[in-house]
Amino acid sequence: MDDTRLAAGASVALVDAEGPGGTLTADEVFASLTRRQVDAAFRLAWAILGDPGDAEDAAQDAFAMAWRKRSSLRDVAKFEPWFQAILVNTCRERLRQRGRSRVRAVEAVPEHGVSDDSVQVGIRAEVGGALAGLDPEHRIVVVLRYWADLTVDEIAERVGVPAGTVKSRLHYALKTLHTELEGVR
Amino acid sequence: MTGVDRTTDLTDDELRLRAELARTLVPPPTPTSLRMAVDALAARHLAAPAAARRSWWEVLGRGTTWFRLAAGAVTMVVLAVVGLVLLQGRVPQGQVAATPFPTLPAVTQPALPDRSGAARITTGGAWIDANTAWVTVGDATDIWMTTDGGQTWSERGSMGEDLPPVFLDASNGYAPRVVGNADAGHAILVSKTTDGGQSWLPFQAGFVAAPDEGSYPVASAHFTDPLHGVVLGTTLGLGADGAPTDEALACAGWSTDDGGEHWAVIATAPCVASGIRWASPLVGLVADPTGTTFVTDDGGRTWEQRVVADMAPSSELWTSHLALAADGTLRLVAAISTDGLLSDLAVYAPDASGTRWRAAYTPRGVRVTDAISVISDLGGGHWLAIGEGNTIPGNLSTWDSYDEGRTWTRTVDTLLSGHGLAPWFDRLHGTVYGGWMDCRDRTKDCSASPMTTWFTNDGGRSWHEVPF
Repeated sequence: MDDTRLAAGASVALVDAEGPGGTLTADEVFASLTRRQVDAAFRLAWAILGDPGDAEDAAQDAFAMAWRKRSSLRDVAKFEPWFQAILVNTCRERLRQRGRSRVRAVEAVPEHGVSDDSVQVGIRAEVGGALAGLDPEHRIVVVLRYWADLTVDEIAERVGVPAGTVKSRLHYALKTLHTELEGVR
Repeated sequence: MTGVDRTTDLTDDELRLRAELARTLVPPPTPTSLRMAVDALAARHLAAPAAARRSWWEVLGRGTTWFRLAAGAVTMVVLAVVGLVLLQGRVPQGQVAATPFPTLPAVTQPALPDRSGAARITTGGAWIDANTAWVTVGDATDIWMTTDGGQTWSERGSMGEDLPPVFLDASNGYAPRVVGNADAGHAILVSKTTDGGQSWLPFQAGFVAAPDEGSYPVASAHFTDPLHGVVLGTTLGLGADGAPTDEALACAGWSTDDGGEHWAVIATAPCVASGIRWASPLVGLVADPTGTTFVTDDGGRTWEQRVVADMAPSSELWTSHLALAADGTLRLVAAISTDGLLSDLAVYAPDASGTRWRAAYTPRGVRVTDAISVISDLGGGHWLAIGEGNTIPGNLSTWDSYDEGRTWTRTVDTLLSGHGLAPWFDRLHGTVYGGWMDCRDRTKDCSASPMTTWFTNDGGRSWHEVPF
């Protein structure tokens, strides 16, 4: 996909356009981009919110918001970070609306081939519980950094804060999670 | 995980956390309903004209004061309170860009009065503004009111077995009443309060004569302010089982401009068998099963007939609801029954003459056999449909639409059952309340279970019991 500036209602030629002809309207391009993001959006929302129902709602809200704000997407190549910023913000608002910093602890997943399943499940439950105990701002940066594998700069772009703020939040979150990490060793 | 190895700059502690999160955070499969919703969003935007559109929510602005609705109540059913919006500024023509469910201040539990051990059913209520709300609770219709946004509630009295009241503000409220008997006829009254429900004064609006056969009187009242209001009285026939029928034997209406001291006859008063649906304080609709409706745009003082066009001889309007579309026109939303069985959900719009309703589009994605009984207009093209399912006892079913009923998604995730009371809607907070029995344990007979109040503020996706 070339680095083409996109305005609502304009046509854009795509290198990897779907179907014959290779020329799609801006809205058709946008629709294609949203469809490709459905799985990733749900997974990220679920990792942040810890609940599939909430995740589906947040993702749906984010897609609706994205359509409303699509004229603000200046570079179609930036769709993913642009949309993820909307999604992260939607998830953050949901976490705040819960009125509590704790989300439901993620159910531990038993792993095959581990010699002591009960100990491993217990450890993972502790980590899940500790993650759930973080406030929204810290939970989000932990998920984006250590689960979604984003860089500090990429996280800053999505969360809308300076890179230094991201680093300090990660530092605080790791400190808070330190006891669980000690238990994992 | 993105699959990209970005671990080179992580410490040992960070690597361990990353590994544990990889094992712990294993997402479930992406719901099909989410894919469908995204497809529906795309399809709607691709089908609409490529012109600048503003959503309902954007037109109004979040700071706009909402006008509360009031609906006349009848003794046969508890009517849902339909939210309303007064249009401000210009409204775009053509299709409406749907909005996501508005992000409102959190209401994880509704701010309702503490009534531990007492009756736990709310029969109605509304938020008049951000600080003022009223709720009626229990068979005796106890009235509770808050003027501090729900932090404290005070009991204002009881209506006894009278119809639930409607409040215009913290002081003024009204409720229709019917007194009399099948032999002498029925006096149609309205009880009014000026002290927030602590005391009530009845005013007689009119009288409906008794027919020769048995009859059942119903009354609806609607005030747009403490001085101006209407009362409609209807006498229904009784069936062989002694239950009221939809057959109206006598109908009349009266209006007042001085708070009920004096009343004038409404010449065009329709028969009101199942209550008035209000889309705004001034715009309302009355419908009968044959598809004959009456519409008012002046708070009920004058009514014009509007007929549903092309209704099949064996079809009836099973339920009807009125919504205000973003383009300023009305929508009649109706569950249609054919040969006595629910068959369709239809959305009608007025034709050019204004005398007929014609099908605007065919809703997709909703199962009308879920006995949808209420449509709540949440604003911005977002409608919530609530039904009681097609099992015995019926399950709670909810569906929502973000495009004025064109496409629907099932949202309920709980199996409350029983014949729920028609819900009422707190539009300020986007919360819908309803009375249901918890019949989720199918191994037990729940017919003797108490009916309690449940709420949703996420479009029906989750329901929670009100902690009375």
